[in-house]
Amino acid sequence: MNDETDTSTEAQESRQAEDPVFLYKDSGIREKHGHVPLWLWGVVVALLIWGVYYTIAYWSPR
Amino acid sequence: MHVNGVIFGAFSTPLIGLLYYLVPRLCGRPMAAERWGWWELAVWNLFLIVGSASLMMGYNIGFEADEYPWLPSLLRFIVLGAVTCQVMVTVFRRKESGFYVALWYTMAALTWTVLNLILGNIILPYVPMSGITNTMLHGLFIHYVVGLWITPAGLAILYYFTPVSSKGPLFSHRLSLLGFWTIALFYPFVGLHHYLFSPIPYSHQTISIMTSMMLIIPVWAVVTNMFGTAKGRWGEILGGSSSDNYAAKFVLLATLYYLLGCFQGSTEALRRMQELTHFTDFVISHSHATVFGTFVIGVVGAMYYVWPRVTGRQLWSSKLASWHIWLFIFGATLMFTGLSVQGLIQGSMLEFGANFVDTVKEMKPWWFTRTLAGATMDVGLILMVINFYRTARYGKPFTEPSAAVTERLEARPAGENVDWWSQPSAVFIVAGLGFFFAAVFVQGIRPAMIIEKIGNKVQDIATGDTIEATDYTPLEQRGRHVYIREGCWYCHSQYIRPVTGETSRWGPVAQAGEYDFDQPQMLSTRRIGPDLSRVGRKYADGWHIAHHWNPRHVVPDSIMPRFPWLFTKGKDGTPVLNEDGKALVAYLQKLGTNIGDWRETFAPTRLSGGQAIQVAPDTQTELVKLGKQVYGRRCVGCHGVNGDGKGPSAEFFKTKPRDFTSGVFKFHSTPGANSLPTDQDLFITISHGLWGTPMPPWYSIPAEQRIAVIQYIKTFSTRWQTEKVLPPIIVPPEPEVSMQSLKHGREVFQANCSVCHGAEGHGDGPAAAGLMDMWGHKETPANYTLPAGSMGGVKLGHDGAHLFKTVMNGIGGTAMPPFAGSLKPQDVWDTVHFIQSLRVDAHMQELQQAGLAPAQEQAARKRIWQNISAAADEGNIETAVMEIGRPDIKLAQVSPRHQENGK
Repeated sequence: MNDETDTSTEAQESRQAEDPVFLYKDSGIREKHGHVPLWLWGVVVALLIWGVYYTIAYWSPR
Repeated sequence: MHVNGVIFGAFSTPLIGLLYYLVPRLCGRPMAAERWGWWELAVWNLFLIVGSASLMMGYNIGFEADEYPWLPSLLRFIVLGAVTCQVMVTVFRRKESGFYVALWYTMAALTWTVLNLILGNIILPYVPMSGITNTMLHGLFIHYVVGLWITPAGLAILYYFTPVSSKGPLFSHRLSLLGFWTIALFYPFVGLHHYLFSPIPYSHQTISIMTSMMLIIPVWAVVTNMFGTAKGRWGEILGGSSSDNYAAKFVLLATLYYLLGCFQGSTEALRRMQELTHFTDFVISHSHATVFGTFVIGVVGAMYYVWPRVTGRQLWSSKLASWHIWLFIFGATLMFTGLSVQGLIQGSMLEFGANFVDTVKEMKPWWFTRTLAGATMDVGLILMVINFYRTARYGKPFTEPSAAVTERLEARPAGENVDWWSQPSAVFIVAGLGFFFAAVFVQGIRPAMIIEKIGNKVQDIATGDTIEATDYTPLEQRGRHVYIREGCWYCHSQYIRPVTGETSRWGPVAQAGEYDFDQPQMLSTRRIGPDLSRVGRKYADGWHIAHHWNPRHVVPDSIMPRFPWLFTKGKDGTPVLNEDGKALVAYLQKLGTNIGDWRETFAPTRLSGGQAIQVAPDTQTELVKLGKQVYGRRCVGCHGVNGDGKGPSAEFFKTKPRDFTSGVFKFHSTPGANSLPTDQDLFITISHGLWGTPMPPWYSIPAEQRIAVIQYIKTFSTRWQTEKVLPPIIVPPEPEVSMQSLKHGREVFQANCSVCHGAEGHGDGPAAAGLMDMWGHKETPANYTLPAGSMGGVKLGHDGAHLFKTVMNGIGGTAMPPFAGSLKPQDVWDTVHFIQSLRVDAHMQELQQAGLAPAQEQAARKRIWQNISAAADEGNIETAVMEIGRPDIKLAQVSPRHQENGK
């Protein structure tokens, strides 16, 4: 279990280290290229499926 | 004033200033035509002053969030147009190779808003269109103000100031892409959700709901990005006391409200949620959580960051900043929670069937809480202003925190891996123009083609046939201008939804064709007062006059303001309506009359109290107590504290309120001219109201209250103690409606009734002019040809059984005698049929004039007969009766109100 955690943490740190950071010179803002969390992709997919269903089901009054 | 003040004063003014701060820094060059800034500052302030003054003076074009007349609108357009040009030029000529997300939102917000102002200031008010098309485009406009100006411009602020104030890199460029492109794709389509359950085509309402829910994607993407940026720095931010720390606290708090407020907004677009919460303070909670809680507070956070840098002074007091943020948290939590809860309470009460005014009364303590919460946040803002003033005057010299400089040097150069979706051209062309025009076409132009095809065609409620709505007369049109000027539409909606019992409360569901002449549309998004789309002919003019003079005189629980400026002094010193007031009443009386004579069939004329109102003597005492309370809230304004018909509003009425002390009542099923009515008789009168008089229907209050108030009314006269209530007369079965019955009925009518009611039942017989009732008031015999609710028409409808009893028993206290002794039941039924034929013929002429197709006339006549005659309803009607025509009656004689209004 600990090994797994360590591996996961290491992987995360490694990913963070590799994550490119861009600098906007005059403003001093830095921006990671980053990622979209998996759970948010889940939300996106679920909502899109629901959206298609809802549009078809409620296109006209029931 | 408030909404425009918040959007364009509190939010947009500092926002434009902040664009001058962030755009040059993100572009690596000064703002293009920077010197324009001073002119923009001056013109923008002039716009705010002129705009606010215009609204206060009653110059209001009648569109929510788009009220300003042309001059302030032009000033606003000039400034936003100039800023848009400056930002575009600065971006396209930038020296910074990267194109940061804050600039995407800035460019898109400005592009969308310039286009939206053309929609709101030119197309909505000036391009001719039907009311429902106007409504759809307004729905788009109003949400573009929120979703395509405040939101993207506010997100530009959050995206800039969250990383700089929390001293960390933005969490994820990919999240920025997901957030921006989904907001740009979905937001332009959502606007119609402001008018769900209206006559807007159903499928387009569905699109607006679906896209509203889809907005959860960009909101959660933005929130994840902001909180991800602060990750690992929460301790420093929350525990810090520098101006940058307070900036971070405010922008992150704004992000939290963005999450909560937008989730509320998406879900309240769902149909079931709208049924319950639309028109209530639940929606106001959402708008405050997003516009104020998120974006004004986001701008406030940005100002905490910028102010020390532009003044070169450190923040004067971190304590005041701390007070500011805690006052905001307290006030905002109280306001948003309170408004949501009160919205749910009012929605639930209405869904349960409560009287509308009762639900408004329930809201009063909640509104006090809202005021307290708002005042708390105002105090916080005042502390901020004091702090900023003292910072500029007395703050210690400010130097840029060194960490930022160091980190800047360590970071990698920008401009790498820039994909097409984060290029200015994509933002401007695809998001700014492409999605905007696609949405306007799908949600504006396409459904408008359906609506414009309908034109002014509506379904006549009584017959189900197609007729045509008519335009406003010049007097009604003037009244409509007064309605807009006085802001009646902020509190009163004008459309009945087919949900939550609104049809029972107010009348038939709204139809597209009846709004054909409504530009600007007056559907409205809020109900602090009841819906008015069916108010025409619900009350007599006198009720409206008294109500506008002092609403509390008529409805003691009312929160409507007085409108004394619609009055002038009459000859005897009594206030009388001036020209604007008369026009407003004419307009109100027109509302809801374009769908035919619906009240006759909608308000049940065959009301029965049933066994429930047979009150046992031992429960009477309890009921009297309740009845007194009901009387004090519903009846006292007209009938007076002592029940003598001399309430404070009585002076405005032509038909005076009943004097209960005499113990004489007009309508009764008991034999004899002035016999006491049964409880059921009084229950019917109270529930149904008396058409054409100020006595409204009270079927919307619980039956227990109606029964109780009857017991209380009886305490005003000793007749109830000294006399017995006679049993009601028995109404024999109604015979067939036949040509013979009508012919004989006419003969009986001419012989017995025409002296008062006139030969054709217009209430203009030779004796009509001199009639007085027993209370000394002038009396007008009923005109049987008029539609339900018209002044001078029948008061309880043309229902056969009701007319039979009235002819047999007479009308108490008036010159209408009982005919029980002089006419046989068969004679009376024939007379009733003749009286009904007068209204049927007049109704048919009204329908013909409203464009009823000749092929539908016979079926329509049959349905009208069936609506008022039980015999006809059972099929006992001769075919020839349905073919009968009365060309001798002209419509001009039938509807004196229309004549009067047309002058």
